[in-house]
Amino acid sequence: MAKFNPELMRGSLDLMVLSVLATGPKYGYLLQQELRNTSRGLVDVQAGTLYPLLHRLESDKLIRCKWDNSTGRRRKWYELTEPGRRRLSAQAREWHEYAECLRAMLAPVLDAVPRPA
Amino acid sequence: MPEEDFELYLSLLSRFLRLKSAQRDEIADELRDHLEARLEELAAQGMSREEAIRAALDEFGDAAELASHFTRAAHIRKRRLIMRLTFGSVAALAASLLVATAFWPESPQAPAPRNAVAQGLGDVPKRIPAGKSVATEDEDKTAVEKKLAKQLGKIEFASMPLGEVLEYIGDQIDIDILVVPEGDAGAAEQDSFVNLRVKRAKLSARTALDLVLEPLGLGYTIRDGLILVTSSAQASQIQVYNVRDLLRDVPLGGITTGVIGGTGGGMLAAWGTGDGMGMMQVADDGAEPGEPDETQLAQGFGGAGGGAAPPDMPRAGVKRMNRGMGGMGMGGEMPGGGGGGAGRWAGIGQTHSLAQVIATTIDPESWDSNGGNGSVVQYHELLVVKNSQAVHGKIKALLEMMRASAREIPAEGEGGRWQPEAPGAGAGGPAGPAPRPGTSAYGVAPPGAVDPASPSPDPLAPPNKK
Repeated sequence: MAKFNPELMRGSLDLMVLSVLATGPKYGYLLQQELRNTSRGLVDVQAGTLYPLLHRLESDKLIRCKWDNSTGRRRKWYELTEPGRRRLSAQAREWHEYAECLRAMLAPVLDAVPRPA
Repeated sequence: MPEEDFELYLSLLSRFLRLKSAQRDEIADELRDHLEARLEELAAQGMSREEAIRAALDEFGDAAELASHFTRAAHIRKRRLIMRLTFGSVAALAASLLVATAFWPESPQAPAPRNAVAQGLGDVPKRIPAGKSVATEDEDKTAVEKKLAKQLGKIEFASMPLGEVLEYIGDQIDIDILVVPEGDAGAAEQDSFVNLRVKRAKLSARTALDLVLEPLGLGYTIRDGLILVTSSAQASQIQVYNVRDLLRDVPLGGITTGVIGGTGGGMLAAWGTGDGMGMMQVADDGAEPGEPDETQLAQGFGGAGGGAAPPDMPRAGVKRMNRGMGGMGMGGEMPGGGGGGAGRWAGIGQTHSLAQVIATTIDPESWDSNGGNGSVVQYHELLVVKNSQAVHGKIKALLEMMRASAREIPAEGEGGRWQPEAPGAGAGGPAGPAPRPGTSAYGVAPPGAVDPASPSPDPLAPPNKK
């Protein structure tokens, strides 16, 4: 299956990033890889999308950053804040219901068109 | 030279980030870390360093575009802030205008017109062909012109929104470039994308600006140390005409034509505290050399006005503010006007009808009553006209004609002195006593704001009585 269309992911990308950060602090590159891995390669976020998004979440205080200079080059780590965690659990529920709803609506269509092997 | 490409890419990227340098450095560091991490991984997969650099840079894409993602996100945040500031500023302007009007004398028997005030009304934003600036002796302007001569070096705008391109150029030369949010210019800021690549020649900021604006049918003016981008067709400006001498039963004053700013921008207001009357006055500090206190005030308020007209300011707000400023402009003007003479002209009874004369005889389609952009509003004995430079020229000619016919009507009282700056004084032009320095009856005019061309203060001039 091809990668998800960025348009499709637009509304949910924040949530994906928050959920990946919920498993522990990460820097941008690691986060990008993790998104790719947990989605089995379907979610591939470009740096030009990912970093501005991270900066926005940071200015909204949903995540916070810490600079680490121990590796020889400066590395910026992100982690969830308490408001970020709350936002994540609230939206996770909402998205789950949304996905269920969409699935039910699309079920007849999907039944008619069998999934390509 | 992939290593150099790598460094070049990063330095290019950070130059394209139109953000504060601290922010810029952080983003550059973060992206460097990302690229290095990617290189390490690709190397671990057995790729050569050179190949890896190429691949990693390919993934990152065009530096300008990547940078634009960051700046867009940052500017959206900034704009929200500007909007908040804007509403505050409008409220402050409105409040000060109210105060100014409250102190307004209904029928001033004031000393002769202070041409100085009119001269100080502001800087004329010349109507300019697209992409050309106007050279004047104004100090602010020369400073801006100097900065515009600065070389930018290589330029690479790939489908970058006009607003961001202007902000980039502005940051390079340390000048704010604002788009006047009316008409074509405002729309262009939203919808136009700039593609401009200059790799070999070193462009001056001025040339870059010309190259960017000209294809879009836009031009710019320099004012108050700012560069204002307007559509060339829309380069209308506000001008204040003192038509007191053309009104019945009003002592003849001089023609004083003050200009206050153009569309959306000219916020040259000063809280003219003079001698404590708290009158409002529009002043251009450039035209008032050697008056430290007032000049500082003028700059202070002018600054606030400038801040109040950001590119994304709602149109209605700007219009309202322009009108407001018109009012203040007159604030500076009125108390100085009027003389002791008895020259009268019974031709036109009300400014209202004078406005109609203008709107019906000069370029009728250009007025808002006919769907145009121009407007003419009366305020006491002043006409505030917003229209193109060409129309202003015609209005001046028309007023001169009307004054010429006024001269043929015998004046009742001949007295006082004629003002050199008052061509409209004519036969019936007994201008009142020249103002004593610093003691304008209403305390509006800053003491130093005497036009060099106006008559020198005459202590022996008769007191201001009919």
